Amino acid sequence: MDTPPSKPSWSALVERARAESAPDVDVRAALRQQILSEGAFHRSAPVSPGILDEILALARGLRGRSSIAALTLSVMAFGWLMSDALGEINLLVQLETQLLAGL
Amino acid sequence: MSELPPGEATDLALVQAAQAGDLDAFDQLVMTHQATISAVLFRFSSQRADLEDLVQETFIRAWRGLATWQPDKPFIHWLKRIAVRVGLEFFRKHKRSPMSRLAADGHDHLTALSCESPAPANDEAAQLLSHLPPDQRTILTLLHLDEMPLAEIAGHLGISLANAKIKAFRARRSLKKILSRHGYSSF
Repeated sequence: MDTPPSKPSWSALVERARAESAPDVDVRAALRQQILSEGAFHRSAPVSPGILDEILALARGLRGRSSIAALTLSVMAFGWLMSDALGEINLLVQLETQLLAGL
Repeated sequence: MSELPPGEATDLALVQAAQAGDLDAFDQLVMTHQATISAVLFRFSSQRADLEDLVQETFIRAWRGLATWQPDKPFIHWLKRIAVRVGLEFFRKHKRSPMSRLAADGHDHLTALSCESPAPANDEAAQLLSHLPPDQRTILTLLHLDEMPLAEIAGHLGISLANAKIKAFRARRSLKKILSRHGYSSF
């Protein structure tokens, strides 16, 4: 007498697998925490207008002394803004334009 | 907008509110769709901790990319597309299924399947599929376990239907060899 195969066919296995369903998962609390923790990255996150003024004031202070220093400041400002307000591209463009105009 | 079915019109309103920074609106979107997304990602990992991470990652990417959703297509399709990509990345990072990892750690394979898994058949199938390359594994996981149409899979993976058919054909051919090597009868 033949021994029945110990392992199912692929189709039988798949059929059993399909009958198994996902457990109830609720990620809302964890999501809210994560979103709030990286709120600065959201496109609608506010960035203080004062920041731009301060950077421009620094750049104006350097005007006429060293364009290299102003460029360095510009690059630093770029890096800082990118890390703190990734979505604020318009603000960044505005800052870069004004810095370059100030050189 | 009035031509949209009620559910999609609600999604649109909630997405617009979420884009304006309304977290409660995003909560509502998550509550509406997380069961569907869990069901897809469950096929990538039935382990609760992994599953929760995958679902969370899907919605975080959705939150970050809300502006890229095109309202002419249902929001859930866009979410599923993100989920499939999150799943594919998971497969790329974890070349073997959780059960295989247990076996590699010295656990007895069958004991692990029967005692430690909430979904033994899903995991047994996932373990066999884990011998395939990640893209083929993703296609057969969605095609066989989730019963997702191949055209939809192709859309989610950003490949043509013809390409998906070729990959599915190759995947089935490889799976036959894997099944035979592990003592399973074929399709």
